[in-house]
Amino acid sequence: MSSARRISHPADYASALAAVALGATALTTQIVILRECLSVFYGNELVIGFILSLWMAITGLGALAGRVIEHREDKYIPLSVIFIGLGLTPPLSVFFLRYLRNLLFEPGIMLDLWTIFAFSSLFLLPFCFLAGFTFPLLSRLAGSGQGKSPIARIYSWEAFGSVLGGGIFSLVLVFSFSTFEILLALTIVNSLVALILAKMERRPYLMAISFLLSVIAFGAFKTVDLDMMTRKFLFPHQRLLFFKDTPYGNVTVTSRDGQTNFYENGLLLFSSQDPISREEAVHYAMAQHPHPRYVLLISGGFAGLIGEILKYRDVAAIDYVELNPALTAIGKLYTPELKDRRVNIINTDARLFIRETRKSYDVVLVNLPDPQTAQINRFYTDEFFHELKSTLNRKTIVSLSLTSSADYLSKEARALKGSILATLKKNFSNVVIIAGSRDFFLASDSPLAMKIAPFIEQKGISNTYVNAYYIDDDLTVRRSEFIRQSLLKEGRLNKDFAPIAYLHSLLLWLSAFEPGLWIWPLLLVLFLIFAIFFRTLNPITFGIFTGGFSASSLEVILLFSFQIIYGYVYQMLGIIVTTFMAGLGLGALYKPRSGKPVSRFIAIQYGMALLSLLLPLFLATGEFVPRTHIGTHAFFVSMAFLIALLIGAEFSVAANLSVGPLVHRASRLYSIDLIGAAMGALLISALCIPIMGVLWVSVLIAFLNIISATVAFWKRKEYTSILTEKYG
Amino acid sequence: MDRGWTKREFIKYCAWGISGVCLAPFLETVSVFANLKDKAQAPGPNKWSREAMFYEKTANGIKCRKCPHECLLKENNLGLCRNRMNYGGKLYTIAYGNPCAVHIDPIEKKPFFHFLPATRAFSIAAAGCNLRCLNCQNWQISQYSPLETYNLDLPPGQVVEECEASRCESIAYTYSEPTTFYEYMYDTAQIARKKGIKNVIKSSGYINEIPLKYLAQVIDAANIDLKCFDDGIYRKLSGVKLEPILNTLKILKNEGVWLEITNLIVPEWTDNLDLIKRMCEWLHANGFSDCPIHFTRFTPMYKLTHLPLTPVSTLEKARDIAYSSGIKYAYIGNVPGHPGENTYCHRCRRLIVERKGFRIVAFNISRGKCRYCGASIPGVFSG
Repeated sequence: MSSARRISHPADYASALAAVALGATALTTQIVILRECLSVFYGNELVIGFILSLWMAITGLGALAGRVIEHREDKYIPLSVIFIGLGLTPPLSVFFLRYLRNLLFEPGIMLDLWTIFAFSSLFLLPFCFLAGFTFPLLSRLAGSGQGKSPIARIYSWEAFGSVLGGGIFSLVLVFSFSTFEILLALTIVNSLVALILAKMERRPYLMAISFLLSVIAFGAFKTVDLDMMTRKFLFPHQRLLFFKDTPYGNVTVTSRDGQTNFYENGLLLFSSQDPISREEAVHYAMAQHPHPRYVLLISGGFAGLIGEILKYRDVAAIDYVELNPALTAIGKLYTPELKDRRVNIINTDARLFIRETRKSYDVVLVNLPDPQTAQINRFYTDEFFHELKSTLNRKTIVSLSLTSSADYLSKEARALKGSILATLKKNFSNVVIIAGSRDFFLASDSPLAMKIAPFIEQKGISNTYVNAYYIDDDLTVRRSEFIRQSLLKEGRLNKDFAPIAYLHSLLLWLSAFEPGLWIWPLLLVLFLIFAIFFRTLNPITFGIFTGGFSASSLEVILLFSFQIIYGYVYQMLGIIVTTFMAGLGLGALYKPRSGKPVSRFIAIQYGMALLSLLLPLFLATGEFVPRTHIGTHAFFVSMAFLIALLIGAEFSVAANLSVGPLVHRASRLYSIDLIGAAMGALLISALCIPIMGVLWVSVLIAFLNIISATVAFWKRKEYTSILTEKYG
Repeated sequence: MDRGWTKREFIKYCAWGISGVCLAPFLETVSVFANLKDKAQAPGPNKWSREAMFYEKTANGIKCRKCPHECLLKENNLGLCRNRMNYGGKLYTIAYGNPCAVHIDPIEKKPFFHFLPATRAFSIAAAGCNLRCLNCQNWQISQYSPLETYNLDLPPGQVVEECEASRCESIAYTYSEPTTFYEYMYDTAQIARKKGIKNVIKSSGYINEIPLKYLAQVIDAANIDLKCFDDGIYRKLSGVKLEPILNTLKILKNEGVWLEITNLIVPEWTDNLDLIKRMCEWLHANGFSDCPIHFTRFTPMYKLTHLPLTPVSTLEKARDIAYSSGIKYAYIGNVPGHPGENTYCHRCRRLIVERKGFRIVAFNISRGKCRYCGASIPGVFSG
């Protein structure tokens, strides 16, 4: 802490400013580019994990490469040039990502995981490499100042920059500015930082270039709608009617030849003139309820489902819950039924709504995509159905759907549908499956029918598709029985903290792709890299590696667990992430008393192991120990802060313990931290959580920290003698 | 000198060992995620294998002659269709009597609008396909081998028995690509014909001339996918050439098989109206004016998920182009409630078959003629 107060040397000032700018830029760019990648590629948990992991790995490689400038005399010029690059690369990356997507690949094609990996590496490389490269340079610059512990200080300032950038983005920018406006604002900021750095060594040409870049960026910000221009690349031959970047994703509305299409994150939500989708989502359940007065609709009201529900004369009220307010706002322009007085629109997380509501419903329509992310999987779990039942009466019918298996169920499809079927059967006495354009699962404690046409006729509902002409009940029953028979042997329960359904969903998605022959040499190369990497680790860097792994993993687990308990509350999730960064920054300012760094290093890791076990302990005691709303929020925020504080402190102590030239130390520690974080990002959400569950993943993380702490403990005498030699 | 382990070394190696053991389950899962299952190697012939028709032995292996790919297979390798295998110097089909999909569908679903309307088809498929369509609806069976799918045990005779028990008037070989389970289809069709059951196929039409001529002797109707009239787009969308499919159409017509054509209009791929016009003009010029064409609406599927549905107006324009090119019967599919599902007499333009979904609401064809003007309506309207 005390070193932060003594910023007086220009190098201290410049390095602090630059580190804050780096942190702010990196976090904001990461959020924006991740969202862009999900929109252009596909938004499931595996792709998210891959891209985050790539981000950190490339940044780590950049940090490793940063040592090449060790022997340069000038300290400000390379940084100035890099900050110009940091300002230019994000908007250029997004521009080319949108522009090249349909140029390099066939229109509308879903790319396989390895193509996503290769393509996104290309786009992440410029910015991430530069960002990583900057860290050792900033450490070198800070080292030439008056403050002590330059590596830890830069780490700390960068973390504070992330807090600043993340905070401004989450609370302000994302609501009011488009993607390119945000990125151009960052261009201006980085250009000005480059200008200041160039001024430190009085380089007029570089100053002029920096200034010019900021002016151009400002001009583009004010005059050119780059978002509109580039989004057209993603929707060729379609007229863009509306688009908006929201905290929940990008919403785009297009039209072509009289048809209106609604997209969220690049995926088609629905098209107009599509009676099949909207009628099936409603009538299979509504038609067979004797008097459906109160209806709960989870998502999709803007897609015409409200109009279908209102065909039933009995309907007195519809609670339509939609997380993204932009969807309901745009829906009101295209779907006049949303303005019906019986419709109550609630923009909140549906699970949170269900926990808090005292209402009882006759029909519940869950109109969500397949559980391909942890966020959506929450609506297909044992706990969700149990909570839902508290809002139901005995005659209530619940409807949800999964992608149709058409004429055959593969192994992966059976596993997914078997899991959902088993989870429903645990909570409801009756479950039927109706094979349609999607496979609809209806659940109730009252008897259910598979033959729908007679109900439609009896109630006089006028449908285009769900009627006796298009629905051959006998054949539908036969198909539905075929699906049911195929699922007889399947059925692992899908739980909130053991989300097996989203693993099955990911495997089903993967089964669409054939492995390329180049996977084998790639895996071999990766194995060799890791073998060499692990071979070069020493107890200090091993501790940093597990620290990085733990940091990214525990952050994911915290966010995941919070969503399970409270739903997708954007502001609160932003607070957790920001608190995490703040803890990281403060922790990095920790300076152990002389003579004790080794024991502190070991103690911190054991402390991490203990914290890793606190979360599952908290979750496990939830049923027995009463908790308050405020208490639970405070727990999550505190946990985020404490974990990050320890990670930051560990980095600071490691910087103190490591030997060698400053730039080498900074480069090595930062890159290893990021590589650990990359592995955590890839393995935890995509693989470990669905396979092992949150509890065992936390135990795994604790175990890793215990191993690294124990290794450090056994090697402690070696490091104590190194420190004695280093510091006397 | 062997000094044995120190206490620290022992603990270190134990820690590495335990870490390695913990890693093992993840390697298994990583291999699943990397989709590393081996699809290429096949075991020897089994209960569901038969020596294949149409192949020749060469110095470099077995050359399959069933479809234009003409795969050259080394020992124990599967062909591109994934259900023909070289074993012991002979070519075997491994898709015989082991269908993975067996259902009953209205014949209009195939779609056949001029062949035994308002009847049901006993529909079967074995896994495998010689195309690689990016938008395949049944990719979970077409892009896999019978070695990888859950199959039933249903030899040809039993297929016919079950068809009779289900009171279906026809057997449809469909869902995947029936020409890839050629021998199974052929033998089943022969038995079915003897019992008065019709045989229909829903196919891509990617088959060589000789096998097709043989097949034409046992089938009664075919719905062929003519996906596009551009060879380059065909290769990108489906991995095959256009020419053999046009040849298939000609052969089927000459052999007297009732023919209907499906053109799935995919936005950004096959919705170019000039190409559709060229296609319709070619069909008219080559004697296919009586052959109904179904313009069907695309929905996002398999690997083409980032596209919208086909606008209805595009389908309507395609139908108008077909009419103006001289095609007598053009339909619009996958658009419930659209009048494009109905049949209008090509001469007097009156509504002669009114359809709602797969049901016929009004039928004004008598002895194959329009009830209003007496024009002969092409098709097979009774068994």
